This record gives sequence, C-alpha cells and structure tokens, in this order.
Amino acid sequence: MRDITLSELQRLEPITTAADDALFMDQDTFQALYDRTARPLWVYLFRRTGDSQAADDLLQETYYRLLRTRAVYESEAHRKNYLFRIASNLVNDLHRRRHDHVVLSEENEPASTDADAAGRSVRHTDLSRAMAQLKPRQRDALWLAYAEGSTHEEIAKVLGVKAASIKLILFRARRKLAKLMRGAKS
Amino acid sequence: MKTVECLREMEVMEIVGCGRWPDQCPEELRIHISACAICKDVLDVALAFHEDRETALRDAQIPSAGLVWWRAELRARQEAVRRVSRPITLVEVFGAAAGAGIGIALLSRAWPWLKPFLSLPDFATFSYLQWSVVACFAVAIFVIAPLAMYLALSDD
Repeated sequence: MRDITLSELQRLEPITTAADDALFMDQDTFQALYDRTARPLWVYLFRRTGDSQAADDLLQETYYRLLRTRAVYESEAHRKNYLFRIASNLVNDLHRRRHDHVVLSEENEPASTDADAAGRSVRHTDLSRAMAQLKPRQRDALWLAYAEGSTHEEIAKVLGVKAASIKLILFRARRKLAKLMRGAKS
Repeated sequence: MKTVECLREMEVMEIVGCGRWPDQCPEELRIHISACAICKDVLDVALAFHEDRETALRDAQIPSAGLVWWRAELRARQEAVRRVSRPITLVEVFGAAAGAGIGIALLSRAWPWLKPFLSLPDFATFSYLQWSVVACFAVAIFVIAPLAMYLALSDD
C-alpha cells in the first residue's frame, strides 16, 4: 500500500471521527503512567532483546497498543500487568521473526573501568548466557518474579497461564538458571 | 510428590529486594538458606536479577513521554486516515471500471455510424487547414490530456 502524503492527511483529517484516531487516555494520565512504568519496561525489553534500538521500538509499540485499547483496568497493577503482557508478546513475535534466540548482548553495555563495575559486568554476562538457554516463558517468569517482584497471579496474567502452574514454571526455570550460573562460575 | 517451593522463599526475596543481604540477614535465615536447596537457588537467582536490574535501570536511556505520546497520536491519525481512504479508493476504482464499461458499450453501439468517418483519408490531398486540425487533435491527445490528468490527480 502506498504511503499517505501530508496533504492527503490534512484533507482527510476532518472526515475521520474522534473514535477512529482516539487514544484512550489523556496526556497527563499517560505521562504519570509512563513515569512509573517506562524505565522497568524498557529494561525488561532491553534484557529480552539485547538491543537498545529494538527496546526503544518495542517500548513505543507497547504504549501505542495500550493507548489504543479501550479497556477498564481494575487497578494500577492490572494496567502494569497488561503492559508487560503486550511487551512479552511483542518480544516473542520479534524472536520468532528473527529466528534468533539470543537473549542478551553486550553491545550496549558501558565499558567498565573500576573493579566493582567489572565484577558486575562478569556477573551480568553469566546471567545473560544462562538466560539464553532458557525458554522464553521461563525467562519472562524469572524476570517478572525476581527483577520486578511480581506475584504468581500477576505473572500468570502476563504469561496467560493458570496461576497454579507458575510455581512449577518458576521452580524449573530457577533450578536450571542457578545450575547454569554455578557452572559458569566454576 | 516433589517439593517445588519453600515457605521461606518470600523472606529470602525480601532480604535481597531491600538490599539487606548479606550484612543484615538474620543468622537463623542464613542457616536455613545454607540447608535449603530451594532457598539457595532463590537467593542466587534473586541476587543476580536484582543486581542486573539495578545496573540496567541506572544506565537506561528511555525516550521522553512527550515523544512517545506524539508518535502514538501521529500513528493513530495515520491509521484513521488509511481506514477512511480505503473506501474512497475502492469507489475510485469502481468508478473508473464503470466508466470504461460505459465507454466501450457506447462505442460498440455507435460503431456502424462512426466507421465511415474512421476510414483513413488520403493524407496527400489534405489542405493546410485539415493538417492543422489533425495537429490540434494530436496535441490534445498526447499533451493536454495527460497534463490535465496529472493536474487533476496530483495533490495540490
């Protein structure tokens, strides 16, 4: 399909109804939501894609989809879960498109100078490599549980699985990750 | 049945989450962790994620809320315009097809009447006036008509 020119956009603008181009949130509410959620969401996207540009793009897409969804949220936590669910689906779609299971890369990591930062970098690399060997659902579950501090119910909503199965998913993923990290250290 | 959770997992996660590990961890919990395989895994994984997240949060450079909002608004508007312009394009295509059909039908009806006029004349006998009429038609067909079409269909 051909691109729409600016003049076409201006000419047709009055024809579009409010519902067609509506964002279902006002700018102030969005600003407040963004301030609370954007940073952890970006970190999640960055850690899942290993690419800051991809994380930026997916962050934009995640908020766009949220803004275009006419939904009633029971609470802030519900809205945050929904946001992470969109993000998780987008990352999985991206990985499917790329046929690429590399979780993290070091390309955007700042160069470490002091010993503490160097140690952090080594630990991060261990975590990255270990995470790369897990299934996408296991990575999501672990990140949400141990980085975001989400409850089992919240994780279940994000992953779209039953809350009862989260315990087992977490147990298996955690055991595998811990084993891989210990193996990397030794 | 295999045990997949320990009742003290949450305590371990809280200690890590609050940055109280290892200095401010109660001795009794420390002993439990060293004896419990599940809590040991929880501690290792939670520590790794906690540190990784803190580092990434500190270094994250995210786009501003205003920019994200502006892009979302622009895209929503473009999508709305696309939706609105889709039926217009369909109507245009349908109109062109109908016009062509009507033209062909009229031409076929008028063909017996037009046929004598369309037989090629003897150009050698043409006067200057007749040549100028032919030239005017040629200019109209090859220059003015495409130009008019371009002006009618272009943006501004």
